[in-house]
Amino acid sequence: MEKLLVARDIVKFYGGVKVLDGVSLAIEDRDSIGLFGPNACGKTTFLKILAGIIEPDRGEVVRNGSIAMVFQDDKMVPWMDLVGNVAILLRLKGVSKSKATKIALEKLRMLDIERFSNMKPSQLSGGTLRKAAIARALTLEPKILLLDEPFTGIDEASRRSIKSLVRSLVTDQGISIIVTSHYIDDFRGLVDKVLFMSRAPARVIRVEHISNIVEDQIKNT
Amino acid sequence: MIVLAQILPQVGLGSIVSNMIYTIQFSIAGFVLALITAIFLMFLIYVSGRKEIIATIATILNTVPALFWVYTLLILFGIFSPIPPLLVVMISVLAIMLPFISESLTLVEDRYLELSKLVNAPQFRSFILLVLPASIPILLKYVRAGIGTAVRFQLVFEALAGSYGMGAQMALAYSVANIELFVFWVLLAVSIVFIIDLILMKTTKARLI
Repeated sequence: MEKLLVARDIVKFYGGVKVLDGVSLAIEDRDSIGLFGPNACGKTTFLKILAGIIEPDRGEVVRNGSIAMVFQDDKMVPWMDLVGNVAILLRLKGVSKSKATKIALEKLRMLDIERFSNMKPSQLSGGTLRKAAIARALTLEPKILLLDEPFTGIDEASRRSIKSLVRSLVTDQGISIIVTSHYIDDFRGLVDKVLFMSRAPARVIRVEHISNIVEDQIKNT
Repeated sequence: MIVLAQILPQVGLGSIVSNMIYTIQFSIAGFVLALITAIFLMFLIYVSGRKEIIATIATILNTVPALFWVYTLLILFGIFSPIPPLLVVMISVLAIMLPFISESLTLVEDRYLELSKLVNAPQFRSFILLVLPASIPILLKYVRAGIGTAVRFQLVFEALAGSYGMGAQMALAYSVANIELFVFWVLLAVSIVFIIDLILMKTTKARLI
């Protein structure tokens, strides 16, 4: 089967400091992968390299499917209402305002947050904004969805709701996902496979099926 | 009111209004030209990715007193050159507006441009959809300073090298030692600057809320 995304020996430096040290990854259709590692180990940098937002210093990324990313800080634009925010990626791609708005409203409806469409980001909760960020990514109809710390800064109810939503994207819509977190529990019920990353400069130190991971192993990582 | 009662028969309401309009229209026109130039420069700097250049230029321009720039520009463009006074005002205001460009680009780059990179959007579209709207709160801060500067520079230009407008009337009254007339034009000019600033301050606050 053709891989949707392959990253080979990715190396990245920031100001002369090595952040990623030969990280590799391959994604197939309907894969769900967790990237687990301590804070500031380079998980976000790796995701941004996969998404094509930043270039690696060494190594290569081969993309055979469209990619979208949900950012940790949501990147909601404060002067636009929610539907404008969800439509922004399509507008940036050159889609007309009316068509982009129509698609954005469909995605908001799908995620059950259409009622907030005319509100500004400052008026909305963290959970709603995170769902809106997912809706925005889905407007690109991605084959691969990258989610950077999707459960940071939201309450338990939103966490459960978003986890179930993201899982349904894999099972119902066949979207492959890569999720980062520094809490192993975030991956349970969400991904099948977890890549353990070391402290910076980050490397993949082992790969486990989620069902094989027990707390003792994590403490020893 | 006493000054006004004495001045009105001397000058005539029509002359007061026409001089006022002359000064205000050229001040605003100079400001608008400076604003358009600043936005165009901002686009060029955004595309080139060299925002540190504008920050350096703005620092140099703003460490020298504004009056120095007025006199330099007047000598270069106003008195000995056919370039109209409008450009003197425009260039003077542009010097005040330059930090707006570097502040805006710094803010926008850090927060939103990754959205643009995610879809590999053309730079002009990113500029129109993200950079320019994001810079509006910063722009509003500089609009007040910019228009105030435009009016002041227009008055100075008129006083030194013009033959019409409130600045020229001030200079004329001063040269014929008509103190009442001079005070009248000065008070009128200060009141206009004050009213414009008041209107802008209210508009800015409303926009920022």
